[in-house]
Amino acid sequence: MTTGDTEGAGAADTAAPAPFASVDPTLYTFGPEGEVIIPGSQSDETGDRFWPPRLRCPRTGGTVTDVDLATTGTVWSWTFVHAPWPGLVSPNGTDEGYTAGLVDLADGPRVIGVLIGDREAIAVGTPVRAVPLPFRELADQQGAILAFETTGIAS
Amino acid sequence: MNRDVYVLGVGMSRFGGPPQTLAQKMITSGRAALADAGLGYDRVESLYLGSALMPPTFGVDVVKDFGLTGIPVVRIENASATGAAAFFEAVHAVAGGRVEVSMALGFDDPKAVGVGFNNRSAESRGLLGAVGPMTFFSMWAVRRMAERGTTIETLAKIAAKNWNNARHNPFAERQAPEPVTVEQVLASRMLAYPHTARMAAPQGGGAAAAIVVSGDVVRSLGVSDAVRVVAAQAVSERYDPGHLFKGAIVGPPEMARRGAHAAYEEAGIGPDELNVIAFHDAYAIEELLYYEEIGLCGPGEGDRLVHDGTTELTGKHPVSTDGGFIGRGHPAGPTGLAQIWELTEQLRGRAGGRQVADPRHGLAHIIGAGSVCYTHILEAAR
Repeated sequence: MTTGDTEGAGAADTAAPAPFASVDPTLYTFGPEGEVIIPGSQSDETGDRFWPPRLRCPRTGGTVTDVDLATTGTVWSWTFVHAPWPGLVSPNGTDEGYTAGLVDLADGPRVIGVLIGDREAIAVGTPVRAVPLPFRELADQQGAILAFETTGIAS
Repeated sequence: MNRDVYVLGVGMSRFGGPPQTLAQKMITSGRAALADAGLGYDRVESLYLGSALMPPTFGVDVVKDFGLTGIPVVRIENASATGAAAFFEAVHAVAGGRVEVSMALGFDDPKAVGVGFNNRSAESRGLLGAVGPMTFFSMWAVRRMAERGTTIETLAKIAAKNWNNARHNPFAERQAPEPVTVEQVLASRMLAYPHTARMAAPQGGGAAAAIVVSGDVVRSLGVSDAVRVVAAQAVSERYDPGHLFKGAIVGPPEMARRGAHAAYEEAGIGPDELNVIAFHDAYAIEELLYYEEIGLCGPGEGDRLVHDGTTELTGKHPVSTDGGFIGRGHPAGPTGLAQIWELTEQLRGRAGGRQVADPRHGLAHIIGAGSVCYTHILEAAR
């Protein structure tokens, strides 16, 4: 399968300003270089991190501080969904379906995302990094969704 | 519970059919439960309406046709666990001594309101639309396969069992004309690996009801086969590493373990004494994981129970005897009450072709997104 869509869209050296708008801005956003920002909360008392941001620490009820979470992690699990991709640009370039995943970020929180990259490499434990995936038009900007691209094979 | 509580009557409509309106199904199943209890609606002192999907006031409007007796009518919502939540409130209304007779009525029609496990509404066309309940449960399955070597054939065997149990349940949504084989389950359309269409619950509309009464009512009526509620437990999530806060199914299977153990303690029994079991088996992987979480076997041993027949109708611990979510269906609001319906019929020996041999205790487990878990244990009269 091709990852051309994402590689082109996610390239940080294109110098295009703010290339993507988030489809779900409370869950993830994109920086001026197209870099993924995963907002979260850190418990001031325990140091635990949570996604998406919470008003208070779900463990203690104490205060939290806004943080940007790690954008690398490993696949906790995945599945291939045999249904047409709901966005405009399929991650596979076809309507056969797409891979969904749960990813454990390097700093703790488990997040949901679409998995792209070599489908054969996707497995429990595969290392991944967050990338934008073009999804649909939002007003006059290209909307993108949170995806994770494989960066290796499961150890 | 402060005093004895019994299920005196149950009733339900066929899920997904016949072609009645949802309101007709509600009245039909409610009146069936009253007739089963041998009581008129004028004896009901509180009514709990379980609906996860219908608009506000829909239920209280329909139930005027039971009779405008002036009793408290309360709507309960707790996602997929809504019907169990309504039953739980009825049980505790009687247990606490506030009323002698309470009624729980669950109802929903996902198609009428355009929602479902696999639907994507315009509002959900984002990350949460791309990664829905079907996706989450399939990821549980893939993780299990990686950790324990569970095979897709094992999941298919669970689903085939439930389809075939549903063949003996006239109220099941799925009514297969011939026995369903593992091969047929595997050959059906792949939804999200490893779950095929026949490993997933259908979501037609329906209604189900239960009449809950005190021991005094049972004795005054001279009823000899009323089923006693020996445990009614509700739990919600606890924090664990890897805890999910966003997504369609955020609750860990661990809730099943905690809810079941609280119920065992209340009932004074253990998992070995369960003779009929109902789970939230919307996807086949759930039934497998819950075997272990409620203690029917040790961690990683669930696959063996599938293959040695332990959870079949003739086994030691029959599971999803009415077809479960996969065979009977899962409208949402009535689902938990359909589980109570099945346990009650089994424990009274009225389950026909799917009757298990001389059951004494039945357990109903159901989760709701958000996330909550209800566990009830019912006991046969002896």
